[in-house]
Amino acid sequence: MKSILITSACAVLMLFMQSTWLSHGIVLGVIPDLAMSVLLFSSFINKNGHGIIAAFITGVVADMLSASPLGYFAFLFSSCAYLTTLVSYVAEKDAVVIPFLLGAAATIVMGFLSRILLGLFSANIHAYQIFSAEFGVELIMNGLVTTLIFFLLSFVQRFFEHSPKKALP
Amino acid sequence: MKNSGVHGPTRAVHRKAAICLIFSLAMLFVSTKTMARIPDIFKGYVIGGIQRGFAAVSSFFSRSIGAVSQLRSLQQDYEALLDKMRDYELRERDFAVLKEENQRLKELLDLRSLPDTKKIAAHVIAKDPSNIYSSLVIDKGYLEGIKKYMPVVAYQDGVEGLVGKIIEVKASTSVLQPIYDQRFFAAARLAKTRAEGMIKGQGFRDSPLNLLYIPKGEVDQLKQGDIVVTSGLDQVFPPEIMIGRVERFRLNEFSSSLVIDVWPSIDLSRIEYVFAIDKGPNE
Repeated sequence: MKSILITSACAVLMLFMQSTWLSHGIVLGVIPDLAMSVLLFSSFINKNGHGIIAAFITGVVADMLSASPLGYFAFLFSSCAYLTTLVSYVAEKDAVVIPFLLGAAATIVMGFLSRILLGLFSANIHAYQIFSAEFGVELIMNGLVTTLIFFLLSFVQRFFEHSPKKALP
Repeated sequence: MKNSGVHGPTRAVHRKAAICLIFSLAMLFVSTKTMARIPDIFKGYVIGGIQRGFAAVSSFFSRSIGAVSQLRSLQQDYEALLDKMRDYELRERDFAVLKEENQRLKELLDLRSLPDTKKIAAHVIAKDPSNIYSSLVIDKGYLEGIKKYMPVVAYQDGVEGLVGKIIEVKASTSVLQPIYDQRFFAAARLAKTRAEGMIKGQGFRDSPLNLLYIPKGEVDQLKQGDIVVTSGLDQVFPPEIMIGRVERFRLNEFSSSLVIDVWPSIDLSRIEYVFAIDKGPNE
């Protein structure tokens, strides 16, 4: 429970930063997805699925901050967190390659899932323009930012990790 | 690469993911059909308040730092302004003459003035946290008289230009859909030839807008730099608000209309203050 709350709080804080301090973007007006990077970190280290629940909670908050319909980011974030949890069973965390690939892959997954949602629910659903320069920039930027977030959060990893209660003697 | 000690994801992981995804889809289903109003109070007061707080913190720091450098340039600006002032005094005389002439011409043309509209000034405090949606958040809500679908304009370099429309109203903040949003549409016309079409955003702030449905016959009269304004036919935007200028146009062989790229008159990357137009009770 503690790991879910801390992950959600940290990711929501990142969402507010994205919408205010980073609102002008970094390159080509593209905003790095810091919240997603935090969720990927939590999903990767918590193999019990706590990262997925945190992603769902953060997604609901993102839907409230955004002009998107309720459930849109909850679905995208939960899906990426779920896939990251699955990846954590077959890959081990390293300093650069895995975080970068996770960040970039999450952007691609969100791009494709947003197009599927556009087909399923047409009302007020936006989708990534996958073949645009902006999407390419976002992909690389999210890869780099995820690498940085993984590095920084590794110092406080114990707060994000689920620690099961020990049985009484 | 293989993880030792753990064989694979447990059922509990799949179950948690399934519950979260089903809940997300259920919420999407409800919100896209009924535009769920339940979280509006929470969004209006709590989320809006936090956004205002964040905006206030950033503006405090940027203003404090900026004030030091501003002092240095103030002296130079003062000298320059004195020169400009002398210039404006001369222009003011010309302006009075032109104003009288304009009034006479209006009377001659028997133009009916537009009904009085109230403009509500607002500060842009946040943007959508994602890159998919491009909405902007302003610091005025229904408590200040903002209503859904109000047109929003801004002034830059002495030009009034269209910014977008209000799509969500909360207590003290509102969400504005800018003209470059991929779901933005407005009835528009070419100011010179009066040909009517529809303006559409492409989803990116740095991309031009598309003016669609302008007949091919207009191609001879169309020139780069022609002004595009709102036509008012959509009943959302008042007529004659400047949208932008023609940048380039294409003639598709198998289409009956032109595709015109329009560069917005307002640079939305440096927008700070906007004005929501209240068209009155009949809006």
